[in-house]
Amino acid sequence: MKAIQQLKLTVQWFLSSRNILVAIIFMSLLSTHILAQTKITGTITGQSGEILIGANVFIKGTYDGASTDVNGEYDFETFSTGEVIIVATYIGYEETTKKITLKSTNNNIDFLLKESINKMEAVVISAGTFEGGTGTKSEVLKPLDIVTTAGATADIAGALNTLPGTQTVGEEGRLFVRGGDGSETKTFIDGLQVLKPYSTTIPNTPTRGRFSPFLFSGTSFSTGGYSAEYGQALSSALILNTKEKPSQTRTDLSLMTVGAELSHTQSWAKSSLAVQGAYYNMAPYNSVVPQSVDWVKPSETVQANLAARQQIGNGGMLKVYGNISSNNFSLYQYNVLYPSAKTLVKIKNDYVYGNASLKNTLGDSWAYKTGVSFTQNKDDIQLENESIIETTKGVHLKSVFSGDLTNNISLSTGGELLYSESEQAYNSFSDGAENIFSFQNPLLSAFVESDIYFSNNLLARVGGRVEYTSLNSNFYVAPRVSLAYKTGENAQIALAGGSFQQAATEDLLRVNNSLDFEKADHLILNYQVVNPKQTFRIEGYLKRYRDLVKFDFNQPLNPLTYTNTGEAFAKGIDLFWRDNKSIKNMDYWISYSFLDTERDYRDFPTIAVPTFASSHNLSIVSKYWVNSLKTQFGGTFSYASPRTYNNPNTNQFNGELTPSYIDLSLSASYLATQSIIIYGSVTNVLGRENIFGYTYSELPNNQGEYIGQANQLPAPRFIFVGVFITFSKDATLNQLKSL
Amino acid sequence: MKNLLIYTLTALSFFLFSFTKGGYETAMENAITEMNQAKDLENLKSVANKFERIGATESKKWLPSYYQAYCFIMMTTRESDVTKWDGFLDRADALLDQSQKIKKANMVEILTLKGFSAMMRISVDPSVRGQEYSMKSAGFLQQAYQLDNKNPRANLMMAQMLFGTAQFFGSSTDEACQKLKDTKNLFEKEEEEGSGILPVWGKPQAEKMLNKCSATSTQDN
Repeated sequence: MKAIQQLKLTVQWFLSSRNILVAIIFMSLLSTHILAQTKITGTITGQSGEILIGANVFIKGTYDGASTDVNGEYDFETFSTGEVIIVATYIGYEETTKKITLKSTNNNIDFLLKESINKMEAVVISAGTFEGGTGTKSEVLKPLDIVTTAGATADIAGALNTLPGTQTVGEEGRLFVRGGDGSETKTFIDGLQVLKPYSTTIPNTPTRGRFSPFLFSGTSFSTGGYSAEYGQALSSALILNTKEKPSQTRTDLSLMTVGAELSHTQSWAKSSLAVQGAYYNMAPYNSVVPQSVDWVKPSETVQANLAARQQIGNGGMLKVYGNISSNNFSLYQYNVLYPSAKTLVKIKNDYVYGNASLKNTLGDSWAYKTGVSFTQNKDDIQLENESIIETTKGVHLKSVFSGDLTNNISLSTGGELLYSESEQAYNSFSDGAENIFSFQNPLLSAFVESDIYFSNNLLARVGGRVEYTSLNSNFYVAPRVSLAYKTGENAQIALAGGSFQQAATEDLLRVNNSLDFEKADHLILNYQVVNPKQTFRIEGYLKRYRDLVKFDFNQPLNPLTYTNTGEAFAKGIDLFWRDNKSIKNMDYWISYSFLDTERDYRDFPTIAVPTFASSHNLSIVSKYWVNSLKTQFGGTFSYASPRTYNNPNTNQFNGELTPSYIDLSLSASYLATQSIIIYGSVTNVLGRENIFGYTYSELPNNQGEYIGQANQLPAPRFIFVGVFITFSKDATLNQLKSL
Repeated sequence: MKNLLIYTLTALSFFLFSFTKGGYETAMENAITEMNQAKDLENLKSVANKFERIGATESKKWLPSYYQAYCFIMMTTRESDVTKWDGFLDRADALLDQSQKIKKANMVEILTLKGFSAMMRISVDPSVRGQEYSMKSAGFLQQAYQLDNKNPRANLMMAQMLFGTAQFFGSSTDEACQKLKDTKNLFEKEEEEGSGILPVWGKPQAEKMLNKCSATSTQDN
């Protein structure tokens, strides 16, 4: 500005003087006098002395500056004088400024830049967690892996069951993690708890998750030591994040041997709406593939899904999701002792789940998430002379604030209200008996957790949660700590420990309303090497359970026999290797888990190995893409060592062992055209008759012997064929992206 | 004498003008020229720095951060070690986010560049990232296309994606090639109209792709 004013004065003087020659002489002087340049030179280095090539140095408020050369040196000239601010920037380093007064001669200004914490590159909390779809380095299983894993039949739990730390419990379909039973794994969608995430089935038929893997863009499966943000889970947290706003308008049609799905997604500039309707009926399949179950009416399900997204302001997002389904089936159940005596069982399940969540930023470095979820589940079981109606309702309210306190410390804190109620109404038509068991559990909790980066190589996460329930008016405190240290560019070692708790399961709480929480302490040591296309992990853990619920086997409905005196332990080693590099077009992973566990809980007369635990679990999953056939072939091999079962004819509780479990499943997905995919899969190709245990008659026969019946799947194999078609204005889209 | 006076006055006012208002434009023009002549990674880094310097002063202009982002995306084409690409593209995406917050920013250009960045991410690990990032890329490009279906760069990126998909499925590239022809016309029209310091990149890329088209069509015949 000074220079401009002087120029203006010069012009005025020039106009009045009319002496052009003088003016021209003056003009030539002007450039040397007023516009004299000052030289600035220097060197830019990193904290540990490394030369930074191509770093940017400039004077704030001007365009004057330069990049450093191969020696990390720079020089430039400026018209600026007096006090200036000099800025130095470089990718991966913190911006540094220096206030100096320029000397008219040479100015030498050196910079020492500090490495900035880059959360993509920095060490991450890895102990206990398998990330998927997060895009971070710790990602292990991608969303599409769920759908293309042979044997998983496009079920989230099915695919996660090929990861270490899980037990193959072939007749269940739920996730059994590190010696924990199925109820110890909790499911969260967008941070909000889902009650009853699995569909209702009959014994020995594996259940399926209610939620399609296509809904989610990210999956985080924790087998222990998880964040203080997640409560009411003893063993494991399955954290599913729904997709962000889709950008394309499209219609998808799926025709499958088990039913059909039709969905439409409409996308606008700032919002989107997706609706899906589905109908599944097992009758045609069951009529072709023989089943050992005597179906009267095979399972029939009607389902509707809705997902809406609205962008709010800059970076904010409102998500609404809803799922309604209704399922019914009926069959004859046979008495183990008198095979000719059969009972008609009719089951109808109605399910509603909805959630709404809002996330937005608060200023530059803080963000909040707030949401509410609602679950209602009703199982209506009609036997010939009895009726059992079970209703579960739950509401979850949650708000989380997170942000950076400093460059190296971030904080996350929040509060939750979790309300659940459950009722079982039993009616006997033969003797008119009526029983109602119920409970309400309002639970308040708060958590705080902080990530502290000591450097790019060392991270500590410290936090805890406090919970209060009016069931027994108790406060619970659960501290959690994790440490991770980067030992090499792609390798790190991590340690996690903490206290975890959950309310007793609803069947127990319905009998005794004031049961204490069950608790578990986890200690996990993890080492992993994550290269771009290869992952290796080894994890060892110790788990100790306290305050497990026990009751008298002979008086299961007497609340007075219920105590929190059970205990258990689990210890083991999990190994994981994934390789997408060694063989072209081939991606495979190998998981091995060793588990040693015993527990004394529920109606156990003594401490024993539970029936769902097996010492050795092995999964080998492979996927091979054949370009000329436009087909991906998949194969999954699973092995689980023998499991225990209880034979009432012997004295030892859970003293017998089943044969080991072996399954080989194959699948193929063929991209017929850009918009049509044909998918087929077969489980248990070898046709092995896997036995999961034995069910014994309630009473002994005339010889005083209990009669056992092997627990097996209704059919040894499951065959699935589907055609997936996408209609879209944009020809480049197909379900390949999701498949 | 009078003429000389007028001449000098004009020259002076021109000098004054370029010193006050035109400084930004001149600096941008110089940087853009340098960017177009950049041969290696170092050149691109140095130009990106130039745009950063301009952007630091002109915080209400969207073009400096836009061009800086473009430089970072182009760095991937000069860096053979793909593991370094994410660093460049992270920076590019952050700059584009910054650019789109500025009033009067051209969303079509920014979205196109975001689509370009997502496309480059696929190349880091195609089998793993293909699905996710092709969807992301398609999303950005479709948004850009919806806002202005005559933008040559949005058209070029769409055509490139169509071409890649057609090649993958071994189906006809006719549709993609037709789109490329249209795109080339759009580039020529843009050239006639002139656009100062606004983005014009992409024409050589379109021509290169069109050559591929004619090569395949002669093979077919």
